[in-house]
Amino acid sequence: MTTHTRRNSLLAAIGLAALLIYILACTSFSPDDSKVAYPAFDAKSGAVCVSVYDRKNGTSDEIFAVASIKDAQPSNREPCLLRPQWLPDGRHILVTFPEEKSLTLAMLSYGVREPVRLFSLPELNDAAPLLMMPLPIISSRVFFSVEEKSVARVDLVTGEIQTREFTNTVNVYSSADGRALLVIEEVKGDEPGTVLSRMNPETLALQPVMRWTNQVADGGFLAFNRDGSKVAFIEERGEGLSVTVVGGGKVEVSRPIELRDEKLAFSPVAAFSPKDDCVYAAFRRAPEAETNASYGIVEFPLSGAPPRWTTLLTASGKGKGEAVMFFQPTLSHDGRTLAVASTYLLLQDQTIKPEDCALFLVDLSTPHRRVTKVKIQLPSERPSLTLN
Amino acid sequence: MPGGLLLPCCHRCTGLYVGAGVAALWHVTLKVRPTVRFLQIHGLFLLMMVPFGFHWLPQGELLRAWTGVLFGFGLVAFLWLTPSARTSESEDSKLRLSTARFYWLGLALTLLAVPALGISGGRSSAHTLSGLAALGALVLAALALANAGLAVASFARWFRRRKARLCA
Repeated sequence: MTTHTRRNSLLAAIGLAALLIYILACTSFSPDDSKVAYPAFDAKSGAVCVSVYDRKNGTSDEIFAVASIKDAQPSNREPCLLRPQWLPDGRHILVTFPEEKSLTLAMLSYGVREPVRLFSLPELNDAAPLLMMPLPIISSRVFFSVEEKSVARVDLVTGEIQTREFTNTVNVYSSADGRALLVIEEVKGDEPGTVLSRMNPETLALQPVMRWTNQVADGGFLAFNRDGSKVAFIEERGEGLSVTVVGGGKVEVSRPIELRDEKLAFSPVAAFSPKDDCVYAAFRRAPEAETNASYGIVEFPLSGAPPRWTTLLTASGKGKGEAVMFFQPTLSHDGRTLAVASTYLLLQDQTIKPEDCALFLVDLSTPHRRVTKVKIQLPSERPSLTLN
Repeated sequence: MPGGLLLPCCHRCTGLYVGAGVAALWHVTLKVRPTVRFLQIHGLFLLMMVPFGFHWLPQGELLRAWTGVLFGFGLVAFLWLTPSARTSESEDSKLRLSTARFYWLGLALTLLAVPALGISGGRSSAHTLSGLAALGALVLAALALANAGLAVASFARWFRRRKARLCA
């Protein structure tokens, strides 16, 4: 028997402990759903800012504010469109906002002392539409569509930019788990249709995955499941609408949406549940017979069960239909909570009460869908957000 | 994402499992004798995961893959000790200079190959990395089970001896 038995046993125990710690700690390397980044208002200047809500202790911290001043008069201050997104490491937040004909990317650190990195991308004729959907972030690189037929990749550490042009109109997205880069191409010509491809984040090369010819409705949404193998959207079916899920190149699910003499619109951002059995979206309903509109969250079970509508706020008037574009939900990684902030919604629809300016957290694990409302203080003079 | 295919795990985990698989292969074929220096170096490989694993230091894909490979080699070096002591007369296995060179060369090649395959490889690279990662995961699981089983057996023997002494 070796004389090193005790040593070997001790080292083996260390090895086992190291393996166990690695396996357990691996989940904390990515965002753990304990914090939500959302747009709010800076208390001192009234400018739009990014705040982080800590769900464990119920507090919010403002971390970044942008004041877009058109001239010397504070009343002419225009609210800035800010999109905050967590990076996969859970220690950085990317805030994207348009300025004139450029797009600014601000890399903020959270919980670590690091300088703020600002990247300004000029020569973008219309930067605001780039922020309608979350930007795909793979490792420390962000991707977005430029001038309809190009995709750009920006390294958020070095600032290196790489672009690639395509023949067709392309839009770039990420899968729900944030690991796959997906591109939707609108193909015209002899065989028109929509092609979903996977994009290699290194080479920006496309690998087609599937194709469909369904008519995607205006005012609908687009959602990808966790690994990007399925896509859900609102389809126009004759006079009505349906929720359609395409996977493996064929329509897997098509559920008609019952409309009752109302105008129904959805936020462009929706989410698949982790088990791919439900699609979550934000809605705006404006019944013809009524003078007001309501906003909330809808769950479309893909099993055939009826949709579940949860109203979060009601406007006193009908406001603008396109306001729902700014009411974008985000699903937590564990699929148990849906978060949506009404910050920009209130700037678009001035008929919504100030007390409904909030971050709404919908607990999907409770049967009655418990809603936590985190108040966002509106400036005394509510600014207005105008779209060109 | 070699060849446009997603790997089953992240850069660090891929490095870990591939490194573990390759390290186990070297231990089986080269019959590495664990000198003090050997164990110290592999202990450093394990400790290195602390600052990188908790993101205390900035890192990209390359560094994540490398730390994973080194961590895998460190794990196998430590977990191999007890099972190899039970199954072979390792006292007769000398760490010849050429064997040591093969081992470290293998480590260096793994450090080069894993990120190279991940970045510039095609679909076959993706399948290779996935296969090696799966093999490495199985190896780690087998080593963990073996060590746990041997620990239980040793404890049972100690308990029986103690009981016999008390009854005597």
